[in-house]
Amino acid sequence: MTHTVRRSSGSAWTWASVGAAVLVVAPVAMLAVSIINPRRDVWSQQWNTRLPGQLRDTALLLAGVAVGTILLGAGLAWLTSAYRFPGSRQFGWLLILPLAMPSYILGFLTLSTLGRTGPIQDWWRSAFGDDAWFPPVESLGGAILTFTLVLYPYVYLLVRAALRDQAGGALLAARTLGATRSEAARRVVLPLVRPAIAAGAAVVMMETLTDFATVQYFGVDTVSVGVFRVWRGTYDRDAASELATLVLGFALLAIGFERIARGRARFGQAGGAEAGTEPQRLTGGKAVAATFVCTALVVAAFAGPVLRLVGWAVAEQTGDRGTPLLDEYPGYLWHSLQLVAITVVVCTVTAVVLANAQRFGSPTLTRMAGRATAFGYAVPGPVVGIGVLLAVVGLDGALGRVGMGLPGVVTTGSLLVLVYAYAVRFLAPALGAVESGTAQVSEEMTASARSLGATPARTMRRIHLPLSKASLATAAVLVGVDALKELPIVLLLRPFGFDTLPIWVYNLASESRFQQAALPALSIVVVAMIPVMILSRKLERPDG
Amino acid sequence: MKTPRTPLLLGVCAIAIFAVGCSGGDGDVLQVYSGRHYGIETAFAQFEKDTGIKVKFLTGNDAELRERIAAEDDKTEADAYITVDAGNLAAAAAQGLFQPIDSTVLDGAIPSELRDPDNLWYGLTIRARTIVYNSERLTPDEVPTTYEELAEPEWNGRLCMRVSTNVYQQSLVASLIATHGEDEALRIVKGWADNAEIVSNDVLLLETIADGLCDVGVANHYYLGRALEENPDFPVDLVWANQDDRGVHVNTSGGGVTAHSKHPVEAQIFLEWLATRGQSVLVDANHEYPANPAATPGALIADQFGVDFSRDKLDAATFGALNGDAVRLMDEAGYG
Amino acid sequence: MTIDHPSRSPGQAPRRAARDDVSNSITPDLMSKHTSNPEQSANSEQAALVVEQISRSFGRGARRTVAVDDVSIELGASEILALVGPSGCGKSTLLRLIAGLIPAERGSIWLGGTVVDDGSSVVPPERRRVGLVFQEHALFPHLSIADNVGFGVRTSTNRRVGEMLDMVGLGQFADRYPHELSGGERQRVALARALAPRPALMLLDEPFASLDPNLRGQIRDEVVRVLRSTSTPAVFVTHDQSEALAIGDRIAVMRGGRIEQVGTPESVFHDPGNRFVAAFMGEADFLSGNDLAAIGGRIEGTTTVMVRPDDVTFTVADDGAATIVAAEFRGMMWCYTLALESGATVRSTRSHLERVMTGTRVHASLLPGHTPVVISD
Repeated sequence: MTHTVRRSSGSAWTWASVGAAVLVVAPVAMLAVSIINPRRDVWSQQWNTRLPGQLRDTALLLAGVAVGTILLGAGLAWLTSAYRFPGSRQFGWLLILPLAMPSYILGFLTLSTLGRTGPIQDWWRSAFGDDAWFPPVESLGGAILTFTLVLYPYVYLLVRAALRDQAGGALLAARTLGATRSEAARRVVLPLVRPAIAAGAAVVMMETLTDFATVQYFGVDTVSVGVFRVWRGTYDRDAASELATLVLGFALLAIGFERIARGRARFGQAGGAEAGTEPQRLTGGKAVAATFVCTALVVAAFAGPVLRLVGWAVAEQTGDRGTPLLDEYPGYLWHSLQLVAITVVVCTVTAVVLANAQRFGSPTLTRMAGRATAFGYAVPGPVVGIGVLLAVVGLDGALGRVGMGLPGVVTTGSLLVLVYAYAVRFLAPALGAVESGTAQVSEEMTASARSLGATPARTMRRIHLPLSKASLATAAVLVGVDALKELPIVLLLRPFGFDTLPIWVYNLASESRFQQAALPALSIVVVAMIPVMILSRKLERPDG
Repeated sequence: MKTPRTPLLLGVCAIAIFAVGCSGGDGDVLQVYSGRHYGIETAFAQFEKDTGIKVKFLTGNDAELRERIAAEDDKTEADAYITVDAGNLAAAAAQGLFQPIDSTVLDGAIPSELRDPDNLWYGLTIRARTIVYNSERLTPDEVPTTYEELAEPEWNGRLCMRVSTNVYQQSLVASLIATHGEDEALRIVKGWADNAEIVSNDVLLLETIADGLCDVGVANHYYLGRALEENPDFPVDLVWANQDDRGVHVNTSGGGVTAHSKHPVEAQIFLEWLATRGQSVLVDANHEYPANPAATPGALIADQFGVDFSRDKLDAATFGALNGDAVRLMDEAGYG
Repeated sequence: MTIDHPSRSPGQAPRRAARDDVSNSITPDLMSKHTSNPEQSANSEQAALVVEQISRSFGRGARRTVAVDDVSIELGASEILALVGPSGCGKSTLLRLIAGLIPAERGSIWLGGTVVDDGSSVVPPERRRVGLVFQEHALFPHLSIADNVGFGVRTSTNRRVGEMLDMVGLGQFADRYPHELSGGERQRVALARALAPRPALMLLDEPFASLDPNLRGQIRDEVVRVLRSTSTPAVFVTHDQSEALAIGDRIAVMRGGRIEQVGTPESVFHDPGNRFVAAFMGEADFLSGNDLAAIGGRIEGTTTVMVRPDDVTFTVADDGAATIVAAEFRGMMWCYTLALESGATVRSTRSHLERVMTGTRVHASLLPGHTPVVISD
């Protein structure tokens, strides 16, 4: 009556997780392969000219944005969770709104508002003279500022979720032991939310690293810009692939930093339905300061830019030109929503499988699989696009040699390929959010469920998923908003007639018709706000 | 709970994927990959009215669209490929992505220096990249007249130039290499780098000049046309560069029929129409010059900039082939 | 696995080993050095658990640690075994091996006569019918108490759930949620939940460690009562030796991944196999032959002996050879540390009614009837 089972009962989970990782890594791996025979001429030419500056600027940009978003994101999360001041409850969700703003839009808005030819500096010069100094916005500093404003919500979201789910009990315990609130924050809560901060910072650094368009507004030459310049300018795709491995190198550094910053601890304390401690009411100067800081941030990162867009949009609509292709708007919206829905489902489901596989399958293999998916996030969009294109074409060719072919639905220019590229690109943030949620379910809880007769699948369905609802929602929103705003991949790989809202913006912005692009840009922001607000409401409600 | 909803969602999505994925390859529709994004819908709608042929277009970046056509090979859905830069046309021709067109209409409409000698592609509009200056701060005799002059020390701190990642700037530098050779071109571009503030796009460049933060710059003429249309008092004017020698550098936006087009006949009709009847509707929205000498340029640019200026006859194949060298040269010159 | 079982057909569990065995480990049935107890051999009950030379390590290369090292134990049909040892000795790992949460590297595990882990095949936890109770109750916070308890039971849930809740005295909490209960109540729910599917074996990993000390004994007694009333065999892991002494039918002492000694509480306490077990199971003082003589004991040779505080007494005497150097109040008694002439210390307990001041000279002696134990370590 021996039950002979496969050697590891979790092997199905291991295989699924490794399989998913292989699929996601394949297009990126093609990049790494190109470095096997490096083109010395390309490398030496780049090294003698742009590379040193690019390496320096990339490092400085990443460091600056990481520091900025950690300070802002974690600081604001703590401020709005632990204290009550006028508007604190509203700021709780208002502060997430900048997620809805694409970086390329905020980039040109920052430049056009604060830049040398913008209204602020025009006024400054008229008030203080032509030679009056104003901090240069077309600079590394301006880029760091813009990226920080756009990306801090990632850190903010993850830290807030962690604070809500874990820190309540610990904070209470620390305070009963006599610590003041800020002492307790530093010594007890901060270590607890380190994984969330680290995960958020890693996401932020990836987004910054792979951006090649917004940085150019600020005259910052990063390694991604270098890839872009070589690829588009010299038509040498192989050289560009090789240079793209530099981007991967930075990504490895960022991932390494995240692992160190996470610390060794693995936290298995589910706060569950336990309410956190009572927030402390701020009074007087402190309350004013808190409200001011939050207001300033919301204005700078969201309300201000949106108002400027609204102004431009109204001016365009009431002018003679109108907004081009406005009657196509329903189509753009529908395509965007389609793409987002499918991508969210694919990425979230895959992330859930990968995260749970770490509990049920071989720990080493599944963890490696999870880490590997991070590389998709570390590769600039167009490179992912080309990698997927080549992979699909190559596969089709290989099949052709044996007399077969890929079905029409899988060829280039099909939605499936586009979604695949999106999955490659966006699995990592989904996985990060789902992993941090699953980590909150203690090993003992999983063990209890299994000892009570629940298979891994049932354990996942009945225990892990319900207990990590907040992080699942976060994952869905992060992926959804990213997919909604994404431009380079959809530009390259989309099927005929499948134009999305960002394409609409691109058609105008690429001709520098920024004012005319205001209405399309606004449409993206407005649509993106919906999932963002749903998420923030979910976070506010004490969930079981 | 998630469980009942998820299969339903997945089902809906699967249907959606298949619904959209299986579309494409319609019977009577011309499918165009276009690097031009602005104003084309008007032109294409007009074409449809005139000929009854429907046009569907996919916008994108020149180089990426070219990569996609190359990757798609004989499975491509593109019938025609239109770019904003002639260098990409030349590169596409060199990659074998076009099929030769036999059309007396096109041969007659487009001057030989603006088309491919093997009839693989035809230029449709002219985009001149020339010298612009602040008309309030510079007197007419102070205005520089050649690109090479801008490298001189007297323009230090007074020059605005566009980033090296921009294809029009790359073409201009390529034309310098073709005209002067690498060493001299490097000297010139180094001079530009020393003198210039680097700006991310032409619109911003013109605004910087208008605000008096730069005195001179180099930009595509139609951006100035746009600015003047919005504000007739815009204090920036242009001068056609190098009129005393080779002429102003022009880039061409044009197109050709793809090698694996499913509708080569319709594609040819399309190009012929764009080169003749469609010239006005194509160029007017964006203030470009028509490639067809018989077509009338738009009123604004005709009035403001004139129509008689000498153009550098350098062929696109040359400066297209030199694009990579231009990028590397700008790297070496420390040009941002 | 190279152990030969000529008398055993595949799938049949070995017989239960004898009690009171002071050897380092018990290997099932085969080795001739094993002294069998005739009474037990006649008992043909299946062993609830047989662990045979289980080993498990973690980490690789220089960081490799052996958590469980060649451990073998057996558990009788309704037996409660207390697994005790200092932190890091491997007892929790052993528990997880038995539960199937981690696979073994070497050795085999049998549950109720069926092999569940033998190197080539592993039965997953959900099919082992092993109940788990942890130090942190690990109740599912999003499910009600009733749903928690009913989680492992597929059919006739309501009846069984009600039964189990009544058994632990929490019938009225069925619709509450874990966060509404106190620590002790939660632990009782955890017990009810684990027992509901009628497991063949219960594993409890320091289940009372997070409870109030006052509550601890009460809950503990209740848990033991429930286990006995359902005749469920159990392995209790604890680092508290007094708890181990109180609950277990037998005690296994672990250190560094190995079993140091297995036996009844009395035998482990009074007859420790080595110094470690002696000191771990209770307060122990180790005396040389001379020191023993100083307090009136007799022993041959230069062996070390162990005495416990309750073995030693003293009378106040000005010419006494020992001095009181410390006194510790323990509520019901005082524990005095006596310094002997040689400098060695020995402890002695006394009723709280008599308080002796430090510095007093005393004459120490062994209580009659208390035989010091020779320690071979």
